[in-house]
Amino acid sequence: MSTVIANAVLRPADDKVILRKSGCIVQSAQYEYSSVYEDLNNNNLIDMPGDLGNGNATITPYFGDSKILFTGLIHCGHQTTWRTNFFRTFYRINSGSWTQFYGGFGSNLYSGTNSMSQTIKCSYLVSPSYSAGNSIGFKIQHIGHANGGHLHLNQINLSNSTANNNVINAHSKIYLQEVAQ
Amino acid sequence: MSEVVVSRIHSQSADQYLCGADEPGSIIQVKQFSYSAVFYDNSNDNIERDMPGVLGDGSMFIECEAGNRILVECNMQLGQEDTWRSIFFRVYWNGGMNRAPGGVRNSGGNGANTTSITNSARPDDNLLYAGGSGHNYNANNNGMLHTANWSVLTPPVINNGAVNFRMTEVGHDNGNTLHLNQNNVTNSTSNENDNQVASTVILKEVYYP
Repeated sequence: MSTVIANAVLRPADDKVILRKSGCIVQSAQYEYSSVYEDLNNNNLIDMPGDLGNGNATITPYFGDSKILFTGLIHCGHQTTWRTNFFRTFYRINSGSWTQFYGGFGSNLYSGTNSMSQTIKCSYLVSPSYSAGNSIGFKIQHIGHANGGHLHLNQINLSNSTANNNVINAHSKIYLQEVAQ
Repeated sequence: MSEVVVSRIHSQSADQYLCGADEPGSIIQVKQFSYSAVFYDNSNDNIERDMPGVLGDGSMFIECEAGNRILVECNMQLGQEDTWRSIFFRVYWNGGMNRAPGGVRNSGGNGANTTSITNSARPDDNLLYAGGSGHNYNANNNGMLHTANWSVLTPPVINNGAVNFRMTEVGHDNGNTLHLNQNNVTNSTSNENDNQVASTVILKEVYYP
């Protein structure tokens, strides 16, 4: 393997920075969930299904002082009336305890028919304290509003239907980027 | 600091492009500015007002090299009470050319636009084509949250140094009132942030030849 050791890459002639260790994005990872998932309990705080909530969404930074740019993207479906869903975001180091961070987000849908859908996305730059070689895991928890908090994750129909279809193949995701410091 | 001066870098095994002097796109740095308190403004019906704290006081900045662009990502957390709310946002910068016309600004002499961002070497306080909006609707219930997220790539920064940003908000004439970061998991109008959300602006300096 050919390796050049440097903190910055400059272009010839005027030394303008093309790439710099401090601030560049050195790796990214994406975790997805594509099935239709429903939680028909209001005010029920639960881990999101699959890789969105089971701790599998991880990144192992190359450096011991990087920040992680977390992006959550959720496709919220809808049935019958209004729906408001809240999403809480957490990280942990290796298999340690979960720490909540200010990356939460929410969706709001209102209609008397079925199958509306709203895609929501939120990013947050997290500064965890960890050591080189540690794995940093992320998860999303869901809680619905007390009066209209049913979750219809990835449920998308093109007609007035409550069927558990995802007709446009939308995937809800966690997207992670290591930002070197 | 160790530096390498080079026109282009490829990976060895696959001879794939990694970065180069003639190609735009390398992310030079990433910065975030965050506001997590609950903020309420009911004087914004068709009146442009500064966003609270770091979002609106002009102190969001990123140090850039001339010619580079800035990828601006806005995450605004819009709460709700009683009925519908529709809030619009504008983004100003002092990094270079003006890409958006002034548009209608109903200051109303009511505390709007109290802040400006200036830079002696560049045009001041220019409106960017970087606006966004968020909408909540519910009748007779409270505590909704809608997260509005959008991104825009600025024009090139015209000279080296700090580029400042600030945001303003305008409420719809009939459904104003900003409830920034307010969210309740019950039918409540209390100023809570139950789910730990933050309204943020993330700035990425993007290399351009």
